[in-house]
Amino acid sequence: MKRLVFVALLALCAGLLFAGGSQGETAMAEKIELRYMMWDPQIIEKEQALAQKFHELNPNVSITVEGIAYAQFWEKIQAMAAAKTLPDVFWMAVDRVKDNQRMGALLDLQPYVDKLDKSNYFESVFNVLRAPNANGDMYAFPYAWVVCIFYYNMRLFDEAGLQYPPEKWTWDEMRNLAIKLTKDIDGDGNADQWGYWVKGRYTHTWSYVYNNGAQMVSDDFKRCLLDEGKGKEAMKFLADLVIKDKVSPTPAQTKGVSTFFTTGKIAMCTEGSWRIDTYRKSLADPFGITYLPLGPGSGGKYDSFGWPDSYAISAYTKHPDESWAWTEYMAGPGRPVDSVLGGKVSIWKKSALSDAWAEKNMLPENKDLVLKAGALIGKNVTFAPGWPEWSDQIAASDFDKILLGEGDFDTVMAEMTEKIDKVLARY
Amino acid sequence: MAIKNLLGSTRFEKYVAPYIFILPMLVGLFVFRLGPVVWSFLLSFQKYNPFQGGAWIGLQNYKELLQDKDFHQVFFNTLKFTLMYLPLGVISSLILAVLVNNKLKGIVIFRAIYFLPVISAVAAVGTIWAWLLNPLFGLVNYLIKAVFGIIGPEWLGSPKTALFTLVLVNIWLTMGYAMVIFLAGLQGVPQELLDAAWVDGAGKVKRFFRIVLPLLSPTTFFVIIITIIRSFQIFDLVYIMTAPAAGEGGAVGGPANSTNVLVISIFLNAFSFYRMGYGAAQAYVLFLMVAFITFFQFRFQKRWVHYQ
Amino acid sequence: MISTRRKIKIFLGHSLHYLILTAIALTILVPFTWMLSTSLKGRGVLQEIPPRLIPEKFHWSNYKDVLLKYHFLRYSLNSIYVALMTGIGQLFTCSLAGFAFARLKFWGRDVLFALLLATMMIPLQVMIIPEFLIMMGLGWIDHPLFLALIVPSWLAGSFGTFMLRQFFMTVPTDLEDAGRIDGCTIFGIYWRIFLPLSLPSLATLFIFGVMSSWNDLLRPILYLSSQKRMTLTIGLAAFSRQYEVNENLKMAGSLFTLLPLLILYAFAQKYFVQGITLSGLKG
Repeated sequence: MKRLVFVALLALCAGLLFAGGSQGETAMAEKIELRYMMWDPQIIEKEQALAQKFHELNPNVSITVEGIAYAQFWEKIQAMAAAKTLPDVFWMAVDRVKDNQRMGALLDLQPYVDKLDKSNYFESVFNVLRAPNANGDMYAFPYAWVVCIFYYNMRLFDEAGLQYPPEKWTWDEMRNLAIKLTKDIDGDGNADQWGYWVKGRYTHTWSYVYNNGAQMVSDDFKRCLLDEGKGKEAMKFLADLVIKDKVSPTPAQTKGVSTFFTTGKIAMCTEGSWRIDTYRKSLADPFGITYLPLGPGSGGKYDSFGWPDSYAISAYTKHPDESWAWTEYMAGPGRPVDSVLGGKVSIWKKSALSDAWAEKNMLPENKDLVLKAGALIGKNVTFAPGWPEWSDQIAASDFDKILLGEGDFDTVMAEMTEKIDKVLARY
Repeated sequence: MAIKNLLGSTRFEKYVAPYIFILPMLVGLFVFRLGPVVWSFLLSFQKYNPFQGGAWIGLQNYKELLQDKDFHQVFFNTLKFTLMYLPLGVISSLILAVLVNNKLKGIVIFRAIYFLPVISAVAAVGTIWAWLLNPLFGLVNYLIKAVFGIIGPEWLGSPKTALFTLVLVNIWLTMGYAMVIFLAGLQGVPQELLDAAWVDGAGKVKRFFRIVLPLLSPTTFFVIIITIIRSFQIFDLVYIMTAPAAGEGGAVGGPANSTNVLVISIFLNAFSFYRMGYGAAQAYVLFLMVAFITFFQFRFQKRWVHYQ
Repeated sequence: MISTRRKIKIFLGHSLHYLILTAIALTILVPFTWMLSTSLKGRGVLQEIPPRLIPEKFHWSNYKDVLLKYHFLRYSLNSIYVALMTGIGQLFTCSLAGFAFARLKFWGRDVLFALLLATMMIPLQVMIIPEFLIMMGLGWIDHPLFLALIVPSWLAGSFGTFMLRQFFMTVPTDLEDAGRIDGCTIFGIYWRIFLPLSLPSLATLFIFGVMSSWNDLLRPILYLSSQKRMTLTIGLAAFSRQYEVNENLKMAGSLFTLLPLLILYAFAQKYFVQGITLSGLKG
């Protein structure tokens, strides 16, 4: 009898142990391994440390971090996709989100995003990652963002006895300043100092299109709008700065020097906010930042051109919840404040608004302008599908043709638009 | 004993032995090369992306190529590049090989120096040359101004000079390669033939053109074929020297598409534009071109290549 | 006795020769001097205008960082292993096949040779995905013995086969006949006569095999995923980041990377000299 009771008690205890604990136990028992791929092998140790921290918070999830050099990243992703072995979480480039979504590579993150407390994040940036268009769901999640701003070399302004550019100003005012700041110092007939630097690259050209109240591509992504109206006006303004007003060096002259502003020979330029880092290190002169000048077609409204660095999750990952947990962690509370400094801004408001980011003891003095510009990030049309082809390859090549004097503005713009239309027609 | 007889038998030697010789190579060829070649050929008739696979579209890619003006430019850029590079490259390597084919003191050091560019990482060397050829601040234009007093050309900055600049850098980069091949060939010229000719009164130059060059012709043939194939496939150097700088986002093969060659275009289409089928079609156009030229070379070789 | 006049003529000839050799050597060495100079520069000074040859401060620490912090020492072991295996393996396959194509008549010979050449004409970029799929199927991704990197070049060396075929076609037929008279089988002729004669070409092929493997980037990137297995080229590529390029480290890494190949080349040079003279056979 005693034995029976004893066994029964034992059974009861065992039953309680396993039954009561089983709810939590089963979830804990499953060991999950996530594969995470990024394109900066130099910081792989830091990322692995964060993966380790995440693992401590979620012991059943371990993350293998793989780093591939930036230029080869997409080749490897595509090879892995062909073999159906895409990593669970991987870095995503803003200009490829729509293409990848269209090909079914990415997981729809909207259900997860809807559950977030949006006040913790810079929501204006979210829209850039929607696919297939501005009303779509988010298919990538940002962890840091940048915005295009206007830089000026304080020493050159001081030497010329000119006032620094204000926050609200016009194209004409900018042009006039540029003319005053272009000088032929040694009298050999060639300019040695330029008022401005026109670069036929997206950070530059599209910023001006936006700030003239135009866009590069129609809302339905079917037509290129650069050969008409305010878009064309913006491109003409930039082209004339090089060809007519001659306040900027040509692409041939700046060939091989990627950040010409650091030479101290340029008074003003438009660049991404991440260049704050570069200029602090490589520019000998003090510099300041401000908003871009507004074009005549803008109607007084400022449209910031900005975009995020983001994470994407594979559409056929076996562990979507855990992949999201890792993404959310790295985009927010898990990411150390000092990993996103300089001209890049963390999407997590707390980090961005911290003193660490403010870097009050460093140039530029009004760094918070970057945050303000970020709030003004506008349209999502920016990264229309096929961007690497129409914006990087076609638009940049053809605009260079104009700047190099190899083709007449109207003819080349018409050709360029025709080519871009062909590309857009495919989507 | 029986095995030896079997192995030595003419029947075996004639019909079986050759296949044993080529067996390892055949295995590799079929497993690792032909499979991918056939796959990519079939790909050129499809609309393909790696995430979803391919959809058959017949000759559409090829039709598009015929009308694509940018592709025409790419095709001609590649042709121009090869036409400029082939003669200059082969001749300069041959000259180098002749210059170092002797027992002068320290010749080993010169041979090593000339081979340096070949073994260096193209990424590093390309960057340095782009830097040296910088129109405003580079060493080359600085020297040109100092020595000749004129402003140097815009090198990689102008669509007119960029392609030729790449030809020059590529020659610098690769002349050591063919030099070594020619050297091996030169070493194979029997000394007695040269001695006999000297006794007969032939000078160095005559010996070179009458004896050395003909004997060298199989090697020269090899070098020409390889140079053509490689020249059509040039990629790394062009990419390094014409790609936009970090964080810039711009066109490769610039300025204004003047250095956009076939493999650059294939690479962009395959990995940036997600149009691998179109890229494969371009690859096969490239293949047809090279195969055609090579076939011609093989036909033509009877006229000038001397085998034993 | 050579007359003094003749001695002077020889001296002048040699001097001119050295002059030309040196002039060419300078055009080669100048860029490398810049590489060296850049490799010793600090981070912010890279794109100084105007460029300065002698750095203000010599950052020897760049080399230390490259070797240790950026793992180049470990990577070099991997690169050496892969390159040597690739180089050696090719020698057998290519010489066997090259001999067959040059000297033997068999059914399908010309078609196969054409096929061989044809596979060299397709750019890697379109073939890399099916090649990747094959490697996945064989289970060779991230293989501890680096099979995905070594085996294809062992077995499918089109370049080497072509090169040795050309060379073997220059060997006089009398040698082959002499061998037959001596009672050699076809294998014997290959092993005893042709192979030793081709030493310079074999040495060249070895160097090329090692070199192409050493500087290969795409295949190691795709076929390796563990950090401990990565090669030098992968290490170098890491210096080209999204928004900046660490030029100084990249140059230091490149110079370190080319050192082993240079040593190998200098060492292998003596094999470029023909070892066996033909006169020995006449007697």
